[in-house]
Amino acid sequence: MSTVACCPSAVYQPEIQPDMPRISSGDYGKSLTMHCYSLDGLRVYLDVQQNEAQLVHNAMLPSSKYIGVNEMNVKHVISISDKLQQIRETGLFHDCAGSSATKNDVICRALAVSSQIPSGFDVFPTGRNSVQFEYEEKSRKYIELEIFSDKFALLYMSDEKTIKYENDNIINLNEAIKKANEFYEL
Amino acid sequence: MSFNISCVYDDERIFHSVKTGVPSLWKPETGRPSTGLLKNPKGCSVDRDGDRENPEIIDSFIQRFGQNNVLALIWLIVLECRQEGARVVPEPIIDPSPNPYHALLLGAGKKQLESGKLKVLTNAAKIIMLNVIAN
Repeated sequence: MSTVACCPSAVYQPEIQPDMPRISSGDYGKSLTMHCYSLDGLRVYLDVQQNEAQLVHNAMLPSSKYIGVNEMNVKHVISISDKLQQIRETGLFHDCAGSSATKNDVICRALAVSSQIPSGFDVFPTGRNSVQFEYEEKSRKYIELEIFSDKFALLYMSDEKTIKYENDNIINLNEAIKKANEFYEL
Repeated sequence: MSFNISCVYDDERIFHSVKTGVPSLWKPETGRPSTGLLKNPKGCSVDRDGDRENPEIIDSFIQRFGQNNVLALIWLIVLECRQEGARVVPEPIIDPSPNPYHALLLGAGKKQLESGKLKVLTNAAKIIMLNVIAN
């Protein structure tokens, strides 16, 4: 397996820019740029420079199973950002009540969180102005992190019927991530 | 037992459709939908079986949404829902397209069901596949 030339970096700068959130991940081979502004005014900027041949050969950065660890699989990040783009433009999310500003905030927050989500997670819209990251094992061990414009909700289950943790009103992302990582100790 | 428009019995079945559109709410690796499908602040829309057999129920969804637009139907027995604390409240639609079988799946009071209960129900749901998943 070939190695990756440079590492992705996530830079958080407390400045607010007037332009609308934008996501650009179409240039699959050369680079991935995600650039948007979250609800709390933090500028979220993620720029992944990649060599096309390395992507074709499925080169990956070492990814951690833990949420919040800043190592990531480039293809995974591209896949998540593409799907968030779809969610923003179409589907159930588009149909549900709520202002477009609220929906943009949700997408921005989800993009910010996506850089901390390990590969294996997928993202889905809901009908209540939120999106959710989900990861499920064959044993039905399951975790779900739902992103709202003003809060987070976390659920994890040890099997198809047993709820181990559920909280639908977590304000702080770090608190949600800390609690989410207890899922891996089940 | 014949269909009673205002009273939902334990042994009735309720149905919800999964659409083929993008972004998909279907999870091919588990063969089930995301719980995002059922999350709605007004409650989750379902159709009661109304003493109908599956072909008639399937046909009613296809008539409403189109042959190519329904990926699958998921269904649950009302008792399974009630065991998770859910309520099935009849809410027949009169206009513009009458649907006497329409109901809402809700939590306690008028609240929507909690995420955990929705996941338990999604895991318990039976699936009728109607279309192939597009890549």
